[in-house]
Amino acid sequence: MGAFIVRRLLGLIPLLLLISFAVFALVLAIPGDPARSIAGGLDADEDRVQEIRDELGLDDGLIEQYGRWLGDVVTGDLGTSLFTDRSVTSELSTRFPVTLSLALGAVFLAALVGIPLGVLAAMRPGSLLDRALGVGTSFGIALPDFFLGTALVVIFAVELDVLPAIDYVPIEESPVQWARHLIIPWIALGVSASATLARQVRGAMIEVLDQDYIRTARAKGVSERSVIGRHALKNAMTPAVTVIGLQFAYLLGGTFIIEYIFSLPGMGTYMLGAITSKDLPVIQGVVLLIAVIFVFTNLVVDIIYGVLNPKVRVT
Amino acid sequence: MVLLLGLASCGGGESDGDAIRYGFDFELNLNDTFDPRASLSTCDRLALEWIYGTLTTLDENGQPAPGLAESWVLDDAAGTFTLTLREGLEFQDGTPFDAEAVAAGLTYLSTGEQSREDLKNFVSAEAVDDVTVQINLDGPGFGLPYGLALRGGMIPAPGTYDVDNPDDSEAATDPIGAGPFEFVSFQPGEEIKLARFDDYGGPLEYEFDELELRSVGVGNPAVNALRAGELDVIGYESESQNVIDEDSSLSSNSRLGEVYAQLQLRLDEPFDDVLIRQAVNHAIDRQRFIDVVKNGVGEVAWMPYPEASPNYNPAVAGLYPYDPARARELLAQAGVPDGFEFDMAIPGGVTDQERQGELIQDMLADVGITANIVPLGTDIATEYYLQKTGDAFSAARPASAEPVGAVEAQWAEFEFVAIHNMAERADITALIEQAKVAPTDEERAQIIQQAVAIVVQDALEVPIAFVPRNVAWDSDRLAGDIGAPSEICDPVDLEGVSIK
Repeated sequence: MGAFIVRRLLGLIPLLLLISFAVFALVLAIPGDPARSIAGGLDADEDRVQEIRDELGLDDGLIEQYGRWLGDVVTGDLGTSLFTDRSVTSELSTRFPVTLSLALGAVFLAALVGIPLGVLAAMRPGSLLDRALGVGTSFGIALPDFFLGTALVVIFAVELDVLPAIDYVPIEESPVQWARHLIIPWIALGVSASATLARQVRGAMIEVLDQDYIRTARAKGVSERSVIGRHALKNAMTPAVTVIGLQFAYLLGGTFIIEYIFSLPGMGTYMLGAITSKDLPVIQGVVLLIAVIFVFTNLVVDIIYGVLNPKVRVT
Repeated sequence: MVLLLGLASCGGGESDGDAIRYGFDFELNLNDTFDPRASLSTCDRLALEWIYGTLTTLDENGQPAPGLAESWVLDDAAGTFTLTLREGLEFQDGTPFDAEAVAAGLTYLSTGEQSREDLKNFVSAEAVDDVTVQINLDGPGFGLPYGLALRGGMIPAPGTYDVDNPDDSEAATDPIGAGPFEFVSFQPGEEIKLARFDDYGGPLEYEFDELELRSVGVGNPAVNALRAGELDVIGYESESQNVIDEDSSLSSNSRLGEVYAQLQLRLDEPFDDVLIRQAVNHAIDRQRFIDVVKNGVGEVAWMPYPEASPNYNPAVAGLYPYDPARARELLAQAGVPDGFEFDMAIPGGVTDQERQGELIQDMLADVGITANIVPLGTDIATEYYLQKTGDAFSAARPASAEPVGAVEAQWAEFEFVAIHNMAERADITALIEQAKVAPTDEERAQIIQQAVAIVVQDALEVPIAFVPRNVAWDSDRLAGDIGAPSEICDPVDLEGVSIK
């Protein structure tokens, strides 16, 4: 297992280098003179254009620019916002935990609800329960998270006054309040994710339960609980793990609307502001962070595969 | 469900204490700097004004009134504007708010990209004595009393800025002013905490100890947070009026000022033809706009000033009544009988603005004009004006502090908006300059009316409706009446408000 992990880690190095170059090269995607474009186009103030050019080091050669940028990134310096003069690293260090809390909680909730629902549906395919869950998951997938979030706020925060409507409390300040402020966003994001997961688990379980070794186990008198829990679920979890990993990565980059509705100061709102003002260092910093997390999420998924299916470890 | 119930029972944590919690959208309004010189958004005033106060203020009628300065004298002939400060004022760090500090502060502010716009014709400032500041001008000083009520009159404490190195100022992150509230802390995107400055010597009086400015999204998020008791005061759009009226724990106020919904035109193709501009004016049903977008509250706008304004020109009111047939005739005369297409920029993420844009799009479609809606981000100045995103801009035009501002900013030469809209007019500029040196308010108003006549007759814009600014508050928690702001970027008036 150790060798498997080491192989996977070594394989990440060229991938991370490629990602870093792609993120750096975002500056090349800006048509014309990037400094002038960021400063406001043809009518931009010349001093401001030169200021941006100096800040981004655009007068140097491309390789030199990349080398300097990469060196800074490796030492944790993601640059400074062109508009607020705040360190990107510093901003991300306060905003990333917010988005991470959102994504992790939603995915955890999705797994907590989606996996058991999928297993239940698979155990009785075609039954009333299975059909009801099918309708329910369709509804859950179709329901927009911002609509659900707003509805839950009205019910639980406004009418019942039992949960907060806005704001974020860091976990180190109060774990209970941290959770209270996030429970509605978690549900809003988790419903769709759990519905998708439930369907995935159901499909995989039905396929596994139809295998010969399951039939053999049942014929040998193994209890249904053991058949499901020890034999079938482990093998059906492989695609589910992929879905969970993808959902987590998607949530990291796609929670802007929920962050806005609940006034959560996460990466989503930070990124949106950067995109509209062409704040390149911020865009690069956020994209790089999300890309790196995506890569390591895939690594974790691969490792879990290895645990679930030892045959994978030798490939 | 168990988790939900468990967490729900762990109530509290939203300690109110002695703080009034005022919510607005930081992403939309604030530029993340506390330095008035570095501020690139007029709406930074929502935070800065509490900390710095201003040298002058504007009264209910929009007229200059004493602030941290108790009086002033303008001498256009001598090219001087002399301020007399209140005695005994201090900055929040204990340093004297005296003439020397104010003169240095004004010199610093005169170098800011936007703050200098509030200090028109400023050349230099000097301390005559401890409380007297003489500002030297190279043009009319008419606008100064208005500008000193804005960022141009927000004086940072000496030591928080370096005139030789303005970009390295501490004021951006650790502001010290002479306003009624001291800066305590700032969580970007979350909240700004302020504490009452007990030695504040200005004209405003507050009856609460702490003020928390909290970031909350426009519309439903803000209204829900207010109803849930997590905010005490919010501004809101007209679409939320019914919800607020139905909640007995909330009170609200509205104020019709000089903010008006407008389709601002870039006078380049296709709007370089006066016939087309007049056609667009005739295509807009202004009363329907008020009924649909503003819940029936508002006043039809025929020009940049409301009827109650001395600058209102009755001779050109109603020049473009709603008349789709006439609009089509004008389009035919302009050589586009089948209409044309253009990009209409709108502020993105603001429900009211989206409704406005959609309604305008719908009305123009009736006469064959296709308006493609292009939502802008938070940096409107860069996107619409500098990057020329869109051929026209549907939004709410902020009120201007000084009487000539509404016309000057949009059509006078060398003004930012006029330049980037290709809308500079020498004839309007000449009238504005005359208005600035007019000996009486009446004569000034008459001259401005002449400029307004040009604006309307040449259809340089499409004014739609004067819209109310609204404020709602938790009257179960707060005592007192809260005045609605007159302008988009004005903070709410919390004088006389206390926590029950």
